[in-house]
Amino acid sequence: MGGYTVVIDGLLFAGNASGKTYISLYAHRGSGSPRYKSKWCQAFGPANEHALFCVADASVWQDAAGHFWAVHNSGSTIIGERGEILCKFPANGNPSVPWHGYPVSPASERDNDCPPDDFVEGWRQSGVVDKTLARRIQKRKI
Amino acid sequence: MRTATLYIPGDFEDAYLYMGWLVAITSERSFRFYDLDDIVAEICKQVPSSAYIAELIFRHNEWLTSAQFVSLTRTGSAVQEIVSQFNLFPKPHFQIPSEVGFKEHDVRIDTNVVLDYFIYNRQIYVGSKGGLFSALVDWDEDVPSLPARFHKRFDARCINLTGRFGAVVASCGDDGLFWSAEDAYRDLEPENNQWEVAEDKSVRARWLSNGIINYKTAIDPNLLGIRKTRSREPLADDQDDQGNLVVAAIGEERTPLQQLLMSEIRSHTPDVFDADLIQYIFNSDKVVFIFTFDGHFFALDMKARKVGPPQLRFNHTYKGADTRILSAAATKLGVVLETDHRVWHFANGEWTRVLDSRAISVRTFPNAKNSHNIISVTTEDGVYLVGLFDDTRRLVTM
Repeated sequence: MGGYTVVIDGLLFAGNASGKTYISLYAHRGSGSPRYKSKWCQAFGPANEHALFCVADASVWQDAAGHFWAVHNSGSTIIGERGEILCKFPANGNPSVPWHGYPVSPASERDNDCPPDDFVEGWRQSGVVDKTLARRIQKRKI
Repeated sequence: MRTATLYIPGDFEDAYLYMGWLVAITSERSFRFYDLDDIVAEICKQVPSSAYIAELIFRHNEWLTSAQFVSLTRTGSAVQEIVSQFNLFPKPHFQIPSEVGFKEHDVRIDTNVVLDYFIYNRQIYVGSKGGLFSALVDWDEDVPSLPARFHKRFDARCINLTGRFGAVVASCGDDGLFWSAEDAYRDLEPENNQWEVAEDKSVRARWLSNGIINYKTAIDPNLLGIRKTRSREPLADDQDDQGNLVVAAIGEERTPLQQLLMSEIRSHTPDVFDADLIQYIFNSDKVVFIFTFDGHFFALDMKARKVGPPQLRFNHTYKGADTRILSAAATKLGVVLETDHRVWHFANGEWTRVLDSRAISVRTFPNAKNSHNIISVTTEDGVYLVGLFDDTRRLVTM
């Protein structure tokens, strides 16, 4: 997973096992940017954020549109400051641009910030999340 | 608050009470019909000391709100007698034995994800990722019968359903809020579907006594006016003192509520309320509830008017649950709140634990004749039916 370099927008992590670089954006942390309401919680630091991205990458938790999605500890760990347990790493088609991510709450977001139903169903069938959490995500309850 | 709980083990997605039947969708998307009469008879046979509560709560729930019952339970000794009967009911629940039969209809729906489920005006509606499906059930037979297949009503992903005054209202996320005047629904041919879009976004909608609130997100409600007309024939449900009024239009008038609610609360509790911390907003027929991340919740009485903004009156501030609200539903006696790890009932400042389990679905039936005060909770272990009795006799309909 490697270390990071401080850059103007955040902390830039070196390429992971599949060569993807990652930036933990300041905009999604602390006082952050007023444009982005979703922020990682303090207890889930940039290193955790990067590690979760690497897990999502290694596990191929990627939907048909190219977005990665992740939960930590089967969704039992809160990762966002508003109680979010799910996060999104938006599709990134340019290998020279680092990936980034942020917590999402399907109850509060537009549909494109919610993982697709079939993707969540795949998570359920492979035991990443249990049936209750799968339904809560699909029904936009959390 | 006193509770009595029935438990049906199994692998279910959801469960609904309608016309004396518990109708559960299994994880294989078949429908199981349990006759509440059979369930009550089994309780009476196995635990005779629980017969009184079984009859009162699960067969004749309407007695609880009858004028006669209310009159008979005005004295403390009468209430104490009922409480002593509750104490005889098996705790934490009575498990329905496998001998209690059910009728299973293996009518598959063309979807692998059931998102919502609703029975209204004799029809079963299923919201799914692949759209809305419905089937007209014959409830007049000894065991209700389903047609061979469900009809697809539209393609949009349907996450929430509700209905009243002859109309079914479907929340379809970014596709919007759809509604249809189902009393006029004469046949099930797709070309006769008349679905109109009332708003461009919806995660759920809930009725007020004279209007409907559409939630564009968990915290962004809009009040939509409804225009009614007289129905050509009686409705199966909603027989009330207004006669057979049915919805003719939804959303001809709309009022964004977020700022109105905020300013009303701020004017009463400027030191407590932080609008940035709102987590969930919900309404019953008469009251709007606002829950915050820092564990407060606020109740405002609300009445839709025929013209202009609604009438709002700050009602109360309560100390809320120290956890997220995932869903809320009204009973005649208060509200049921689904949180991360359990289900609660809240009324008059008192929290009652309904179930210590994570729920897949929580349903109430405040407008159903026989199940005013019953909560249906579907979990990964099975379905729980929880009957409520207000032993304070002080609660008012919410």
